[in-house]
Amino acid sequence: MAFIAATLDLSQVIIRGSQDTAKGVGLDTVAGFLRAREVFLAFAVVLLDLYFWTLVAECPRGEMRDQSDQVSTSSDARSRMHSASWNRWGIVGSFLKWASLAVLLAVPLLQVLWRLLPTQRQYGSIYVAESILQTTVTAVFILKLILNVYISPLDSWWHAFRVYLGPMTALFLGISLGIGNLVLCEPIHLNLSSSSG
Amino acid sequence: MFAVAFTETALGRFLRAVEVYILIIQNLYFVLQNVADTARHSQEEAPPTWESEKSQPRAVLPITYSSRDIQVPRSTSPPFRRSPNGQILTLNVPQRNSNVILAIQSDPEETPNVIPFTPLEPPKRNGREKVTASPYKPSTSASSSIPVFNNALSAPQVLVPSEKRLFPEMSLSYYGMDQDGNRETVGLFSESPTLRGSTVKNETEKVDPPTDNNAFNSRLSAGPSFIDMRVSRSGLPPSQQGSITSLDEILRQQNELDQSIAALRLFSTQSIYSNPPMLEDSRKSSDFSEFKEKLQASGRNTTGTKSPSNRSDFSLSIFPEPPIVDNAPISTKYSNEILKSRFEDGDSEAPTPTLRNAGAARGVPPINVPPPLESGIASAQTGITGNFNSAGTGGTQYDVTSFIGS
Repeated sequence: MAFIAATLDLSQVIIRGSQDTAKGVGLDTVAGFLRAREVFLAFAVVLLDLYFWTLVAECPRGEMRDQSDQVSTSSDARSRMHSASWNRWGIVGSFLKWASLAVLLAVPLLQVLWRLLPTQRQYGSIYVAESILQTTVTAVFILKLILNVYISPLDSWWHAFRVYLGPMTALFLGISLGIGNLVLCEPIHLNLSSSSG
Repeated sequence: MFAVAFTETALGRFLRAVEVYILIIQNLYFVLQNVADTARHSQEEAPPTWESEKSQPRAVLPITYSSRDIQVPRSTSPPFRRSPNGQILTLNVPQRNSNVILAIQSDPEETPNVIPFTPLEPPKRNGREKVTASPYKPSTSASSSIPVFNNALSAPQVLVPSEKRLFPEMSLSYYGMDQDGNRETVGLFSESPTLRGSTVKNETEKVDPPTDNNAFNSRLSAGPSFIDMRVSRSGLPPSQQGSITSLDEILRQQNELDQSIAALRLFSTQSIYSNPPMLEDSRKSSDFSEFKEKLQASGRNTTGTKSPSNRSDFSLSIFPEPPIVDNAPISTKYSNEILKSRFEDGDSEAPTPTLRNAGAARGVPPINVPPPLESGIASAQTGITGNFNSAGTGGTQYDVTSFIGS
C-alpha cells in the first residue's frame, strides 16, 4: 500500500509538472491523488503493525522442531505453549494481545483523520494521540520479543535472539519514527489557496 | 500552515524503507530455510531410489522352480554352475534379469533342459517392512501330510539361485538342518497361510488333474501355514507348480514355495552323502531344541507387529544357501550294522539310534520311522526315515512335517 501511495504521489508530480511542483502550485488539479495517497499511507502502517502483531506471537523455529520431536503426555496447558504465546503471561498477556490489536487498528483511523481533515493537519491532539499509540504499540512488540527470548527453552539465548534480530531492528526503527513524529512536526508553508481553489 | 510529520520527511521515509527492507530480507531467509529443512527431512525419511533398490531383497524376486516344463541340463553351461564337489548346481541369474521366472522342474527322466525366461513384474516390497512370524500348525494327518522327496537319490544336482540370496549367513539349522546338511526337520513355514494355500490350490485346479494331491491342497487352503512339500519323481503325478497368474503376490509366493522345494531337494540330496539321522549325536538333537525354542520365541515376540503382508521371519524367500557337502562316506545298511554292533559292544560314543528317540526325550513329536523295507534300498542306504509311496516306485518319501510346531 505504501508503494501504491508512492505511485500516486509520483503521478501527481508528473501531472502538475516540474515547475508547478517546485512552486507548490496546482494542487487543486491533483487533490484526488493526494487524498488517495494519504489513505494508502495510513493503512500501510496498519498492515505493517498487523504483521508485527502476528510475528511476536509465532512459535520460534527451534521450539517448533523440538515440540514436533517429542511426544508430551503432560496435561499442563502451559507446558504445551511455546514461548511466544500471549497466553503464557496469563491475563496480562491476553489483555496486551487484544489491546495491541485494537490500538494498531485505531492508529490508521487517527492517521486518516489527521491527514484528511485540513483543520487537523497540524501538531494537534489527533496527531499526538496517533503518534503516542503508534510508539506504544511498537514498544509493546519489542518488549514481547524480549520476553520471548527470555523464556525461550532453547539452550542458548542467542539461538532465540537471532530469530528475532530482524524484526527487532525493524521495530526499533519504527519506534524511532514514532518518537520522531512526536518530537518533530515540521510546519511547512504551502500555497493553500491554489490547492483549495 | 501545513504540518508534515517526521515520517514524511526524507529521513523518515528512508528509515521506513529500511524497516520494510529488513523485514523482507528476514522473511526471504526464513522461507528459504524452511524449504531447505523440508528437503532435508524428506531426504532423511525417504532414501534415494537407487539406494532403496539396492537394499531390496533381490532373492525374493520371482525365480520359480517349476516341475513340468522347465528343466535344467546336467551340463554346467551358463547360467548354471556346478559346485566344486560336483553335487550342487548353482543357477546364476543376472542382476538385470532378476525379474524373470525361471521354472525348474524335477524331471522323472532326470534330463533337465534349459528353459526360457518369462518376464515378470518384480514384487513391490517396502524396504522397511517388518517381517513377522506367522503362526503355524503341525501336520497331523497321515499320508497326505507327509512330504515325499523322491529325488534325493537320483538328483545329484540341486538348482539353487546362489547369487540372489540375501541371508547367506543364516544357519541351516534354522530350518532344521545343521551345517552338514543332515536333515532334522523338513517342515517349512509359509508366510500367509490363507493366501498361500489358496494360491497353491488355485494353481492346482488350473493345471493338474485331480489327483491325490487334492488332499494336500485342501490342507494348504484350510489355513495353517505349515506347508508340506511333496515332490514326485516318477511314481507320483507332476507337481502343481509352473502356472503363472497375473497377480504378483501369488507369483512371488509361488516362487518362494518353489525355492523351498529346490532347497529341500538340496539337503535331501545331501542327506544321502552325509551322516544319516541314526548317526546323529545328541548335539544335533540339542540344536533342534534350540531351533524350536527360537521359533517359539520369535513367534511370541513378533505377534504384535504384523506386517501388512503378514510375512514371516521364516519366509521361504530367504532360504539360506545350502552348504557345500563334503564327500562324506555314504552310509549303508552295513555301516549301520557296524555302528549298531559297536553300540552293543558298549561304545559310549555311539550316537542316538534314531532321531525319534532323541526327539521324544525332549518332548518333540517323533518322526514317523517305519522299519526299513527290503525293497527300500534308498531308505536303507541313507538311513533317513521315510515312507514309501503308494505307487511302489522305490522312491523315498521323507517326512518333513512331523516334529515342527508341536
